[in-house]
Amino acid sequence: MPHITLRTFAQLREQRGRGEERIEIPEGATAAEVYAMLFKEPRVPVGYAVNETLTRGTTVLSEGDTLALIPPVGGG
Amino acid sequence: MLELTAEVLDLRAIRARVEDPGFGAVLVFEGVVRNHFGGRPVTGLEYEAYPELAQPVVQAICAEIKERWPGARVAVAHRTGALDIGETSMVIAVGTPHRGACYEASRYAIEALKERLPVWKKEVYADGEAWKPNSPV
Repeated sequence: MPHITLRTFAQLREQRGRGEERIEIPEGATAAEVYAMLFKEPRVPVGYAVNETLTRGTTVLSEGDTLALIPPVGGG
Repeated sequence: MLELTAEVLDLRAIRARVEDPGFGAVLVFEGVVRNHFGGRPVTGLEYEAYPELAQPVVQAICAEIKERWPGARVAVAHRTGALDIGETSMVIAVGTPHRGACYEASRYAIEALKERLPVWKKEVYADGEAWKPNSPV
């Protein structure tokens, strides 16, 4: 089973208890599947970045990838 | 193009990044920490950023501005960490040859950054706290 680095921010980071962690995921799992596995409903809509580049939730993750879950932003 | 810092923002230094002898207009926009949200008193804010993605997002927005308003220069700075009421959380400096484009580009920049910049804001109240997105979820 592949290992990835998971990065989380804001409320998602608080729920995980840390902003960066190494996790094991099922072979062939997508970004959106990993989000659904790790966070219970109700889930906020998120954006996905793999290896620091914005991508779709349908992106399949590979060994060594970094997945960032991006909750609704609030800068300004 | 983007500066993320826990230090007080230096307006003059950010403005200096868009100066050009050919410019007739420079606008410096400041986002400031307000003392209320939806009628609820706010005692402070906390900002968190995703720097590795924030840089390319700002680069993309700057490229859009340069395409729409040729010759424009843009500099953006955003605070991270805890801020007090009245502190400047964000600065957008825009310089252009003429004033019309400057107002338009500045407005475009703030709206695009509010929507796309990977920065999060936690509002701290007298009796709790909450992460507040710019658009309703």
